[in-house]
Amino acid sequence: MIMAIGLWPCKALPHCTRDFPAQTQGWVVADPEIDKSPVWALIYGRYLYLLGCEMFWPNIDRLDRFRIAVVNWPDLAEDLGDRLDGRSIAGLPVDIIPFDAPGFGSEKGDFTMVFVGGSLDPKGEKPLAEGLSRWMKKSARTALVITDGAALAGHDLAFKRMKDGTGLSLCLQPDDLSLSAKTLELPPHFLQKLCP
Amino acid sequence: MHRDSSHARRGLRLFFAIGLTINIMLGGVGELQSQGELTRSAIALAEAGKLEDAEYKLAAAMAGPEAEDAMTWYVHAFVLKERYIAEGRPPDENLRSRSLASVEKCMQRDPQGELSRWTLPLLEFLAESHVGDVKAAISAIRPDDPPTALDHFAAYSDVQSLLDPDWDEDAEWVLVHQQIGERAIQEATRLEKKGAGPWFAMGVHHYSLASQRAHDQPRSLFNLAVHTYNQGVREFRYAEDDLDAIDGALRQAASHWQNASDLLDTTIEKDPENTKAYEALAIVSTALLNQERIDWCKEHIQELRGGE
Repeated sequence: MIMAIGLWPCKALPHCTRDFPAQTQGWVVADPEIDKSPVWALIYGRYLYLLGCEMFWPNIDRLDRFRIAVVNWPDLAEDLGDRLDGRSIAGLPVDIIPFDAPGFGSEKGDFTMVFVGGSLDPKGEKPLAEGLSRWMKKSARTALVITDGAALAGHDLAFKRMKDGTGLSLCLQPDDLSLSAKTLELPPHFLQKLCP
Repeated sequence: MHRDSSHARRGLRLFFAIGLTINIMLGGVGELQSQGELTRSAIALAEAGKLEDAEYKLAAAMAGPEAEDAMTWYVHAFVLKERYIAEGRPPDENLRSRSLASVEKCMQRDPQGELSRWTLPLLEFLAESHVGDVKAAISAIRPDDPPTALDHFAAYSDVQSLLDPDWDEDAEWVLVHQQIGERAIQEATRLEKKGAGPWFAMGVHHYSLASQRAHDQPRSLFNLAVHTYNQGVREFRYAEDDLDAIDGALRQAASHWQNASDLLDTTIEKDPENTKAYEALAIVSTALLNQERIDWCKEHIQELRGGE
């Protein structure tokens, strides 16, 4: 590029105009793309993974698989699937099973954990509550049922998004009666994250 | 021989011939376009490829009456430029800065610009050589090294100012800082888990500098905002599997996202019709749980798209 220009006299004397960006066209980097990952699915995914590891480790011998149902949050199911692909929780193989609300209502099996997303959406709350209720009626359920904020009937724990000034965090709001009925206890680490 | 070098030699021969003609026409009086003995001798040596000898001869010329001859300084600048080529274009500034200084002296002694046919291409050559060095220095840049790309740009800028006294460096200065910012962020992205911090800080620094100037300001602001948001996502994604580490990474990510949000607000202030900025702000506001802002962005996006 430089060689091509060499010492040819400028045509526009006395002012020699040049186009620097054109000279550097080959090395101008394209404008960046914003990361469109569903960031809160990513955040929940990381906390849920840790909670699963810590909470079920003491009773690991009672399980043969770690089954997680993700209701009404496909992005979270995908994130957990990617995160856990080929991995295990506490040494157990992991199944991530995504559901919509009606589909979950029709599910017969039990899980290790059930996560219900979109629970704070006024439009989505009713079908979610109905789906959860139908699933629970089918047999005695042992799964830890977590929502992303709402206290739906049958839930054991709500994982709430918190905004404090510019800070972001997740806090836990347990239903103590429900947890103790399932003989489940929150790990000590997570007890420090209870909602105010 | 390089093409530019052969052009230059042809130019020098032509210059010599014209100068000699003028010299004859002027009866050998030490006029502007004539050459003194030492300068002529230097030209002959340069023609024979004996550049160091030519330079030595020119040093003698510049120490005597021939120093008043613009042509002597042009020949000196030319010989130094030829040495720069012959020595494999070393990136240090020595030969080129000396060549430039001689062109300046030549131009001072040639107020009518009679030699501009030769000096301007030489300046062009020097400017282009610095563009190449800026590019190479950006590719090799490291957070702990002094920013040699900026030194090369400063040298380029000096040449451009001689080519055009009204030249405004802003556009190219901004471009260089954007380039350094991009290069640093690319490296931060590549390193992801380890060692990205200094690269990211470097990228932010250079993009911030670029965004302080009016030229291409919305782009500098937008790019910085996007990189800042993405860095928050990356830092969170690659935090260790440990509750404290994840809490810390989320706090840090939130801080990046808030900065990105502020930058996008400013981008929109400067460029209210920038749909991409509203789209990005909607994503950032989702991360920051700012529903009001998300709705506001969506309204504007719809407006800008003609209410589809």
